[in-house]
Amino acid sequence: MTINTISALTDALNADYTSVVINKSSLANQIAGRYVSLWTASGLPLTGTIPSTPVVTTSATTGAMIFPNQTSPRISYIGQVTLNPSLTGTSIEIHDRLAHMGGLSGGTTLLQTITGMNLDTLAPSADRIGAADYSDCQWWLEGYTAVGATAASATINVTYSDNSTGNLSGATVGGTGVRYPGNTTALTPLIPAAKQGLYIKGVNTIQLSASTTGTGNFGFSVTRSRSVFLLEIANKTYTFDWASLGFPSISNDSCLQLFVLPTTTSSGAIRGLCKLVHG
Amino acid sequence: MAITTMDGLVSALGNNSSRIIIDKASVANQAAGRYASLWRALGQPAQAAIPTTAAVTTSATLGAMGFSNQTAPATSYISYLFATCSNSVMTLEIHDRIAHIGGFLLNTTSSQTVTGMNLDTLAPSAERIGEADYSDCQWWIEVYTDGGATASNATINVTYDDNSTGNLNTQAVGGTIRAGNMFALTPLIPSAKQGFFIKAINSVILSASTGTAGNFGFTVTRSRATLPMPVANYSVVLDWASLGFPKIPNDSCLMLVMLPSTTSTGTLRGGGKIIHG
Repeated sequence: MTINTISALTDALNADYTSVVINKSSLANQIAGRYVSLWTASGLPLTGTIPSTPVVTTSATTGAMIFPNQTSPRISYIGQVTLNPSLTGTSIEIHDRLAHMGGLSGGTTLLQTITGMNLDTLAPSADRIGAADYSDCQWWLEGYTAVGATAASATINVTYSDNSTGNLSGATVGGTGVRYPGNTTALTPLIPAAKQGLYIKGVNTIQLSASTTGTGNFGFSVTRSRSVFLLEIANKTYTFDWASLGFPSISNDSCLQLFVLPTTTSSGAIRGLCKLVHG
Repeated sequence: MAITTMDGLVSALGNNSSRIIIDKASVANQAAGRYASLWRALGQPAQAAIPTTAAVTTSATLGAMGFSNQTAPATSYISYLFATCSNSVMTLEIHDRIAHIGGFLLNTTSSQTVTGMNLDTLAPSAERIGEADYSDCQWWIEVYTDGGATASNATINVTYDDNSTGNLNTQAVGGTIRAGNMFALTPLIPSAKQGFFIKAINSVILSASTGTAGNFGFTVTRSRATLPMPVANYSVVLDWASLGFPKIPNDSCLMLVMLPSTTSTGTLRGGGKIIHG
């Protein structure tokens, strides 16, 4: 059965949980106020595999927080988290990384076709996707290895929840855009006025307005946010209980990763413990 | 049954909720200390349409945060909310946008009749209105397209909860009011009508043309949750207790309203949970 009483929650916190150690190194070359994916940061969870072709990511993917799947109707939840940041004013989020792809080049203005980065095709479980219109899913342009210093405007063609397609504009690769490992740009805010109310379910192509002068490696990922933490003071330990976490459910096979919203130019080292309860 | 026990809260938080996702672009040309509507901001929730005729807005209206209606006696509540803004010292409010009307001009001194913007006529559910004397309802002038620079004052004729009518104290609408600006009407209730609350808007007349047609309207909302964001790019998280466990009636049209400390609303990102039980 799911956890639906305070007694069951207490029992799970006491005796039916998985502890995940968090010890992530800092990623440099970030921008204050812009989300950082810690997928490629070293430490624990392990450094994530840089993707190539589109693939659904799971708890077995290198880089994910490892936890055991549960047999229905049992599920998992984030029950308690302890975190310690090395930098002041750090916001951390835990996301379920649903799928990703990489291998895109920052050194070409040719149209780069992305085959198979579509949630219908990849078919992660409905539990992980959330709302059927894909409105729970957040899409990201994500940097894996550094591209060049020249800023290039990116035109991204996507498929929406109604199966229509269209271009997003406003993303930048290179320069002060997505350039270094961990740099991200969220795609939802780029949805044009004519497509408001629709949500992205696939990415089809990307074309840069110029070569960034460095090939590098970048790609697209799609995630679903599970919980958020504000860590105000450097080197102070913060504890978050089930209520302050919103008691988020964690579907089987979730590929849990960390995102950081920094207030400076690096993500900072993050240490802590995540307690996933089961029931 | 409504959620009345900790067990019910735990169960709903973990197993029976609708997700709130917030990812809104900044709205420029705002004023510190003046409420700003994110109804027309791009992002998620989607950019809404500019209203025309008076209408009750619901969770199905484009621009609303969607959630699942419940079968009575099950009820919905906002139980978890977090947000971060690119500006410092900002306040986010979640309102139930009960009804709206638009299409009024800022370049005419003719009396503009406001047809149908009456809570008795529109008849949103009593649960959404709250108190029977309409004291839970907040009325606004909401600007959809910029006005002109020439000074002008708006005289708004309203119907009060006792069915009497009268003019509110005037509201300045010249000096280039901007899309997204919101002006509260309750503080304009004159001394003679203190203790009464607005239930309808009847007409509006400007003292002068502002020089530009623009587009503005009237909106009635009911505040449901507040989240202060003191520092830029800091995520603020509030749980069910800090939020006051606000009830969300079926069909509520949840919208975002900001109280900025600067001249834009800033990019806003966040989320939360509406639990059911």
